[in-house]
Amino acid sequence: MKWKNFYIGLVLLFLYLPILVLIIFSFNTSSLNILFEGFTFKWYGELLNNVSLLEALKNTLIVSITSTLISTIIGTISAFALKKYDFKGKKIINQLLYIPIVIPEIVLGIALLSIYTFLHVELGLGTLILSHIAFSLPFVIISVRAVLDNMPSNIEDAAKDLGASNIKTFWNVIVPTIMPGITSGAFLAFTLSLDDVVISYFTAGPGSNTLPLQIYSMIKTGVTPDVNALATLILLAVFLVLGISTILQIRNIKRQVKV
Amino acid sequence: MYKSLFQKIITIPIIIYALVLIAMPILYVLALSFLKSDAYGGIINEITLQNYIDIFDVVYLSVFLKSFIIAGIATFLCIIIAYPFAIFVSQKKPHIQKIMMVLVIAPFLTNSLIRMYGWIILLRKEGIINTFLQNIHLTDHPLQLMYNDLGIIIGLVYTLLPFMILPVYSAVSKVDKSILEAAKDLGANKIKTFTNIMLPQTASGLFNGSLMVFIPAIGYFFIVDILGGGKLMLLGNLIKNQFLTARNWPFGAAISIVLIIITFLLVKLYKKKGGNMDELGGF
Amino acid sequence: MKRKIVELKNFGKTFGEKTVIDNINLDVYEGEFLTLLGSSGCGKTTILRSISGLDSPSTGTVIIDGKDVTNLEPMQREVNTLFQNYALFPLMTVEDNIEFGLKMKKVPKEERQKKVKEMLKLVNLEGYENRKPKELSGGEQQRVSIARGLINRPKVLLLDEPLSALDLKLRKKMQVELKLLQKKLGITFIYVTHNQDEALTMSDRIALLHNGKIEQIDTPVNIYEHPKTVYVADFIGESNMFDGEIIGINGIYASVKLALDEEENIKVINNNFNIGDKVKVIVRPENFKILKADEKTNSIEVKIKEYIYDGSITNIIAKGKNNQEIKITVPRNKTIVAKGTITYIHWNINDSIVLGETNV
Repeated sequence: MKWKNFYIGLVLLFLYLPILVLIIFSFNTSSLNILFEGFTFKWYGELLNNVSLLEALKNTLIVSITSTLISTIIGTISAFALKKYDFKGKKIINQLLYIPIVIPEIVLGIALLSIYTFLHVELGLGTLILSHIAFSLPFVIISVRAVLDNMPSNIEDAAKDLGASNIKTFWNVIVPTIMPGITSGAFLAFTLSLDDVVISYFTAGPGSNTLPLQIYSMIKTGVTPDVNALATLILLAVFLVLGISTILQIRNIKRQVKV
Repeated sequence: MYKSLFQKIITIPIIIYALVLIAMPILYVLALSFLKSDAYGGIINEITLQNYIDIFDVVYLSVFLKSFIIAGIATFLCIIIAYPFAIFVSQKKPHIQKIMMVLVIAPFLTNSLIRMYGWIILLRKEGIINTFLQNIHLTDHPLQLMYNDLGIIIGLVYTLLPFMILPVYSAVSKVDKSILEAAKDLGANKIKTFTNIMLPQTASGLFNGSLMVFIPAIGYFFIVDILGGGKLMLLGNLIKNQFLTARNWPFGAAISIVLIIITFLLVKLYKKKGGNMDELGGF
Repeated sequence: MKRKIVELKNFGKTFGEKTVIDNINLDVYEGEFLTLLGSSGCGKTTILRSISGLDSPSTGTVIIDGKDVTNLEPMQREVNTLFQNYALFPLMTVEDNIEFGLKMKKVPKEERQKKVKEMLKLVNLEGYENRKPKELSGGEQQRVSIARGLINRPKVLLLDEPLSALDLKLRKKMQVELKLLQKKLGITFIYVTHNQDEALTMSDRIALLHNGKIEQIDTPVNIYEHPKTVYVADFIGESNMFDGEIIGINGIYASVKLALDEEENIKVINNNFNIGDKVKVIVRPENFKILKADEKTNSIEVKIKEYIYDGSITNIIAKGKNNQEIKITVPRNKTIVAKGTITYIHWNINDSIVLGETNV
């Protein structure tokens, strides 16, 4: 049993090693990221002065939040529509949805770049948002569909029978019931969007650099330790959110075990 | 009337999406791949198969080969790391399992480029690992841990490992424990229990994970750029260069179409082996 | 004659090539408890869904309270449904579930609360307002769904196998409760089931469906005692079916030669038969009497094969001369003859149900 725990620990160490390094060096007085020379908070202060990084962060948040919102709304409605109605081309659409999930991101990236160029759409935040919707929407649909398939089938009938219109049935009964699928789909879309490098690389325009793209160019030209500070802050936020949701879920598991 | 209006409103967005953001771009790339390009990056409306013929040039074929070998090695290493990990974790109590899986996912919710940068700090000549190895006198000169194939493979394995762990863990935890006990009870040793029961029952999870590691690995040009040092070229970089540097879009499109076809063949094989499309991507 | 509350006229439903309901006419009267009975796939649920508006017929019209509603949405019809497996909204409390119909009608809050209280009292669930469906037993969930279905005071309540998810004991209890509730409220119930016991105990009338047609619509007593077709006789209750031929007519009686025993003829009521008519003689197992000897008319020779004890009754399997199996039911304490004995069974002339070729 001990060596199994050791193995689990080793894999986790592999996953966390680069992150730990970043956190430690974000407090390092030396800007060389080689040896730890002394403790400081100064990089966190400098972060506030790094205009291009903050600009990139702002762009990233605009793109991620907008694309997640749109993907989640369209994804939820579409998952429902694809399940409930038969219409022309439904089979093909169902197949097309898997394309962004399976093909290499770079192919979708150059395909979107090509079509934007062909249609003379200027690259910028708009094309970024559109592209992020392109790759995240199928994930929302699959996530919502999984919950929708487990929904008791006749509650929709029950709502209509009790006088609810199509819209009220969808909004008052179906949406609350499939909320877990919607939130996990939105969460997935948001994290995919936040971290996307490949597709953004092709579809961002000048002046619409996202955080990953900014860091990419910094890595090639020279990273300042305030990036470490930013990484640490992002990590902190992620672990806070995940920590809380995990504690809640574990409580649920424990409660179920008791019952 | 009322019914059909609601139906129209909720089915239109997905139709537009599928047409405009998926079908049209892909079909346009397909069309591009049969056109000619001029010396200045422009596209000439003349149909040709030359782009596909060019792929068979030794230079490009070797990029294909190299990409598949590197992606194959990364996939293999991911299996070697993820499979025992998934099995060991599945033997833990439910809430420990939950925490473990959150710990696996958490790093991947942070910026992947920042994490790549963490690896640079670790792997470079004057980096932490080399400093450590020299301090304990395992080596007297710094080792070349990045800016080579090794660096690329470390980067790929690191970035794609969760996409292997998630489906494999989900397959492993679905295996009925009583079947394993029954096998033991019937006298099967550990190896036989594994090869006869565990492996076949988790094969689709392994296949799923392999797809989700192998295919992206071919296209992740930024890992090759950062940890490979830009000297090496894999398919992702080749496509990127055709579109952004060499500006030979039709040739880049042809390579992309070949990549799509390879992807489809792999997915078809996955489906044929009983794989569920909705489980792709770690669901 | 009572007022018609639901009328189906030339009602038909097809799914692609398949005809599920084939041009039926059905009248339901105000305040009655009508059961649509039939095996699964006979189209009974389709009829129900067309009345509620969740489905629409392929042909014909649906009339509710004199108004053609064929093309109206469910929200425009004054009917409500109790669904199979209750179909409670899983995330809403009991109160929110029951209140839902009123909310959709935009009834003011105070009135809603008052009515919810009334309904909770009606179904004995006071104090359950804030529970979630998950926290209720099957029977309690059933009561919530009843309250939810009745709060809008529908002209007709449609019940789609509402008791099928309950265990036998609870089901019997709910059968009685539903029946009492229906009498108390005077609301028309259209009840769908494949369970004939349920149909026989609860209904004022039963419509037995088969192959998209109504085989017979009648009171439970008539359906059981005077089935009009072989299918009805076979579907409802246990029955023995003997092939026979009319060989003589004598006023109100006719005599039949049975394939079962060519030497004995039996007497039946004459129902416009002609000599030579091929008929089926149907006898319920409980209508046989076992005799020691061939002492009465209308009796045939059988050999006792098996006894099956079943609490208050005993089932007997016997065989006729032509080896046809015959089911006989006798009260538990009846002295019975030993297995393997050859003996005679007798039944009254009135207990024969005789159906001619046309009723097959």
